Amino acid sequence: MQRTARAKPNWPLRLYSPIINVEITTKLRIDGHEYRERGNYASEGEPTIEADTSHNQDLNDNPKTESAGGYGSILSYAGNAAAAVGDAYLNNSIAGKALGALGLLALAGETTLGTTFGDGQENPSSAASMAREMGTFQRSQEGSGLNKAAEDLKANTATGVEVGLSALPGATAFEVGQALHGQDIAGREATTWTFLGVIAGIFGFKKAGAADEAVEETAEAAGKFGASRKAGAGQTADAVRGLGGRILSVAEKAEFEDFAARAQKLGLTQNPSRTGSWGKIVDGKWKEIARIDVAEAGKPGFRGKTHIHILGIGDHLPPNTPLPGE
Amino acid sequence: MTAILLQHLDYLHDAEVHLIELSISESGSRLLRINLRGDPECGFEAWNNKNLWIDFVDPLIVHCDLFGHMSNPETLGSWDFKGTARLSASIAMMTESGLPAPKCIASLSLNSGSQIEVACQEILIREEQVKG
Repeated sequence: MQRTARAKPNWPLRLYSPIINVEITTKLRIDGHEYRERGNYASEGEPTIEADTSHNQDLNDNPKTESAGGYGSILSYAGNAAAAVGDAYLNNSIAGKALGALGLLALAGETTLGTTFGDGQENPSSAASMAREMGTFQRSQEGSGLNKAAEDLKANTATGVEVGLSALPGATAFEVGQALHGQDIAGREATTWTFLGVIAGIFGFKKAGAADEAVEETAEAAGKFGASRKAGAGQTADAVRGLGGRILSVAEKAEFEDFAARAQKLGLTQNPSRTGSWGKIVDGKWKEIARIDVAEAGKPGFRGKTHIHILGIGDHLPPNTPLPGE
Repeated sequence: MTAILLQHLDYLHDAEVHLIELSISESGSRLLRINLRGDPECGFEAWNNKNLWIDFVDPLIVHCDLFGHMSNPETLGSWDFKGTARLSASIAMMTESGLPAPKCIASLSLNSGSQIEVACQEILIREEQVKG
């Protein structure tokens, strides 16, 4: 295939190309004359892609997420009640103080739960930010970023269960404390407080379970969202093979897809290593029948003009040129 | 002339690629060499149908995914002065050991889907007429 002898060319063109963010001097030497140009040709780096945040908004507005936060708040009230009851005994006896401390522990637990679920509400935005950052460098990892958020939410769920369970000991603390100090309180009042304490504990426990379920569902939704984003990323980034990892605009993607539809009608398959190149396997080799080179904005020559090639090489043809068989 | 120097490389779009080789001399110097022929209607008259040799001198790293599954001629899709994160990581790994940083980064995408990215000290483009 090599068509020329390796005679030393007598017309050297010398280039110093740029490295990332380094000012360089470009030199062109032609027939003994040297031309220089200084400038910063900083690398553009990896192309960025704007994450579709509409889904993130959906997650923020997810009623399950809000419910989780609401349950967390309710649970805090339950903890408050249990703590208040325990606190009522703080000055009565050592046992009362201990039991009151348990109530305070429950309060702290429930407050933590509320905060945790509050974070859960924010996690989707954090996930979006994470996805955007990751997407900047590795778009295919967007899904992973959101899946990570889902994992975080699941971890929050575990915390929620633990904290929710602490509501019951808080209420139980009151009940026991009430029994211990019942002699100091009128029977009717003791019964009332005991009843309220138990209700608070059960209420907290049940709500913890409900919150748990809600967060699980939120986590699942986040996971599905992450998976869908991963699939979406696959359509826009992973599916582009070759082309220097080029990121396609919507219009560019449409040009590739239109061409793909035409090629598929002719029974052609896409080159497994290059988007926009369509052909078939002949004698164990993949033969390109038609290829579209979609214009890159701002580029000169045919690199900046959409065209197609028939049979792998040759003229730069308008995109509407009939393909073999059309 | 110099103002459009780097832009010239965009005119290598659809240039036929005839050779890609890593040359290693007896002295140990390395050279990644690519031979191609400018597209007859590439848009830059000086390179129309011209035979070009591109030498990547003293390459520190060359990353290649070269596909040989096609029966069609190979052509150059694009040339850019940027590298992937993978190349940057490789450069960092090498320079952290004390090796001098490369002065040039270039990435070439071929129309078969093949990709070449290279970090080197200098790039030379030489031109000669197609014979016969």
